Amino acid sequence: MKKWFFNVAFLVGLFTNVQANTPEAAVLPAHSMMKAQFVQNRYLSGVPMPIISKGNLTLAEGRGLVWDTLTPFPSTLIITKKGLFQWDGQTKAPVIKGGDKAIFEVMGQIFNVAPGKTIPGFTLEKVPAKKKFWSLRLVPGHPQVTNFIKCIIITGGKYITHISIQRPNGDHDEIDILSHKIEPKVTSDMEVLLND
Amino acid sequence: MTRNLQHVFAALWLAVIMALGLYCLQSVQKEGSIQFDIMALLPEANDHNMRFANDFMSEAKVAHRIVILFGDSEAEKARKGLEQFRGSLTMMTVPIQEKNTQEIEKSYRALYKHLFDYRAGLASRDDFTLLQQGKQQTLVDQVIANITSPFGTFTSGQIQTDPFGFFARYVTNAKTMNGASVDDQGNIIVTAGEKTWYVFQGYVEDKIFSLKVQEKINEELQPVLQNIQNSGVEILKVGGLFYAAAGAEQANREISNIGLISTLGIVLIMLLMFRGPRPILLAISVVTSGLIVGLAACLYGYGSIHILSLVFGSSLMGVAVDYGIHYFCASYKRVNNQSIDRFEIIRTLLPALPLGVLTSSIGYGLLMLAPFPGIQQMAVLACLGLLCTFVSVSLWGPYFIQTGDRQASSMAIKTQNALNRFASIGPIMKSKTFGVAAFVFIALGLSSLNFNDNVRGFQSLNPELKVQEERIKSMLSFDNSSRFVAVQAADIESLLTTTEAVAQRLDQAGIEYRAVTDLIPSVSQQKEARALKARFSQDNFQAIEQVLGIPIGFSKVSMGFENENFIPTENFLNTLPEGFRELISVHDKSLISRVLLNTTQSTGYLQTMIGQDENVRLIDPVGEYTSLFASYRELMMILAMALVVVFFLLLTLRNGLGTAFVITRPVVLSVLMTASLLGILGVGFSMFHAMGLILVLCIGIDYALFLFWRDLKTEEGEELLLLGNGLAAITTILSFGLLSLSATSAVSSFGLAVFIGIVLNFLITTLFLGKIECKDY
Repeated sequence: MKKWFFNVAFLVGLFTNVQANTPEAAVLPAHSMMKAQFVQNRYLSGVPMPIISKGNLTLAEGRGLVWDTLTPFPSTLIITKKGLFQWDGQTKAPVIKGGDKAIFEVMGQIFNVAPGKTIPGFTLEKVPAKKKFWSLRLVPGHPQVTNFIKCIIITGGKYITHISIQRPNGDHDEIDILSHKIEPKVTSDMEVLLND
Repeated sequence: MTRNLQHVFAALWLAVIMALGLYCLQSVQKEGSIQFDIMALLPEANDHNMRFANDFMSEAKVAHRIVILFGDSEAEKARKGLEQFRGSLTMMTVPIQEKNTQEIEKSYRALYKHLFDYRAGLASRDDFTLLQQGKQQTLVDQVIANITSPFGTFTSGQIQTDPFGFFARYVTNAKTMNGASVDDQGNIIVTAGEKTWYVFQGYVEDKIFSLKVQEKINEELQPVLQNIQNSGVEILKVGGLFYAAAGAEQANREISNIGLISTLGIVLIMLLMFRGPRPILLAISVVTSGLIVGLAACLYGYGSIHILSLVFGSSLMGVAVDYGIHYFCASYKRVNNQSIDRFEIIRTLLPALPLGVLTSSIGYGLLMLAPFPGIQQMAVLACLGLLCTFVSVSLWGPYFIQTGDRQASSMAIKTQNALNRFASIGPIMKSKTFGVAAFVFIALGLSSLNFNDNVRGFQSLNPELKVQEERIKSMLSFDNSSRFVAVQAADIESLLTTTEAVAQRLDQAGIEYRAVTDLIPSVSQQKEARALKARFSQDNFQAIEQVLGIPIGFSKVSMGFENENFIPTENFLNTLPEGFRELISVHDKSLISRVLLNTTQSTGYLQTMIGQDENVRLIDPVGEYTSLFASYRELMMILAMALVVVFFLLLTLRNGLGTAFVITRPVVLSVLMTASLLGILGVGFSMFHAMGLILVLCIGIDYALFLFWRDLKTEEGEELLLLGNGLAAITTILSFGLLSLSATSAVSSFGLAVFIGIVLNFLITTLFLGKIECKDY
């Protein structure tokens, strides 16, 4: 559970606003929605080629995240306060249930990340980055988390542009985030997906 | 009795009381002679369902859990608050043990490591349902999403052993969650809004209703928490212990406030009416003597006494104050224009006083039939104590009376005259109109009487703690369901298959639940899961290879399909980690599994849906206690009726049917009218109202007895019987009626019934018997 939780919590959170650490970082307004495209390269030990998937992500502030993979295996995952669901076009099938409020607790913390602030359980380190970009490394401290996350490196300018999730066994995810677009409010099609 | 003999007996009685007093003093110094645990007042559960409920409450330590949250916008400050609390806890004598979450987590890791070998037969509830329903494509889609998305639990380590992620999802879904994460030191943390909260979870290693524990909470724990709060850290807490401590504090406050008002009121009235402290001193001596005898009897008979039985029993015995009042009122009687001889006063109170004592003692004695251990002790104390107060009044009374000529105070005479005037309208009571009106009122009232036996209604939960509890629940997921299905079976496999059958019915009805079979399915379900998973894996293995882009080769051996099924032993089930351990209770002759329900559906619906036989029972602890209270309310009502019958028979045997009717009529009418008034006012009638009415019967009958046997030769105004009754009523109202102001529903119900009942009884008795020529009967 912890594994799933941290995966979800950090990625969801990081897509939003970790860049608050820099003057250039944008803050996602309340009740707004951010749309972006992603390209994910998943490197698994023993698998020579990365699993590449592409799609769209939509983050509704305080509501949840829709991870819509378009290729090569279309699927739509929805994360809300009630858990992780798979959308088959008509219904939401629960993948992980249990009302894991912690997702949003951590998201809230990520939103509020700023110089001087901390995220309990993680050490935040600034990492040298290219001009006009910033980079942060999040290192978990607790053995429960270090079992499956070695560290998370986030890079961004105005918005997050890249997330790297390093696993202890050498597996790692490299996610590029592109074409960010902010909507002032959650659209009706997203409302349908995010409603609990 | 000659005067000398009276002196000897009075001295002997004093010696007996002093000796018993010494015995009491010696006994109460022994460990455990005074019980403080409130739960000890409740009867032992004989009913099956009650036993199931009690076993669960004790094994799951439901009432013993406590959670304290330390919050601040600066996480470090909140953490320091928790650390400060932990540090203080080691120096406190409060029996609180912190829950070792890291140890529990470690136990789970070891458990899942052990179960991994048996993974072929294990599947999450959702996966198993999809496999059973043949929804292969849905499952395949989920598996692919798990491998490709960053939220998945899939790692390269699973490629050979669990490529479809069945075991990972089984672990994820079986694990109990509380919505919290942990920091680098293993502290549980939650964030909400601007604040980070550090969570302390613990258990009270003693009885939470123990008054000693509650005292420690209020004296040691609360100041520490207050100190941390003063440093700016916000604190939220939840747990039965805190409610119990707040309840005890409230009760103490009420006892002090109401007790003070009551005592001051009684002293003031006595001083005004009798112009001196003698009646008060007589009352204190009489009540103390009764208390000593009653207490000695309880300590000898039961070996101990509950503190509440002692307090409440002493209050019941407080009716003896009335005897002192009547004794003093009678002392103002005059014969040949001279004050009556003080050693003759008791004669003027015959047979009313001993009959009053006898009726009240019988009433209190009947309380022995109530199956509450506390009430039984109370009955012994009050019944024996009251009998002894009569001896004390008779033997010691004269020594408290002023020698020489005695004149009643002008206020006493004025009050008696006013009551006489009020009594003169008594004949109205004999009219048919009154009879019809009373009948209509009682019929209307009793027909609209509603009963309230809901145990929740009797509690007065501290509102501040309730708010804190709601806030904590909004941050942390709690297993706060109290209803569960208890499954019994002769062996482990039958227990698990029956539990699975119950779970299936709950799934079909869309009811959320937690069951041990989420973690350990029956062997038959393992076999089914193994077969379904093997077929699915074989059919869809190509999809996995396609996603990963490598040929793996389907291998039953590496995926664990060749391994054996997991057969749980009693020892294994008894040592499950916390979260599942309380869902199963396995002992030599008793195998019980508990399916915890998380639903708002009515108990009736659940009962129908689950079905009921002796091996599958829906247990609703609140419902069980509610029906227990309902049966005790009925018992109390029967007891009240029995009391009237006993009074009637006693008086019939002594003086005939007519006398019995005249004496019992006012008190029966007032009790019926009290119940009717409660019905008309829409007050839910509970066991505590019934107990109040029993007290009204026991005390109220005395008013009629004194008036009935008054000396008809005495000139009006010379005998202060109406004043005596009036003062007795006022002292009763001050002692018990004021309890209606209590914030605790049970106490205020009792007080309200006594208040209305005594007022009505005084008025009705005065009107019926205040002027009546009793020789008519």
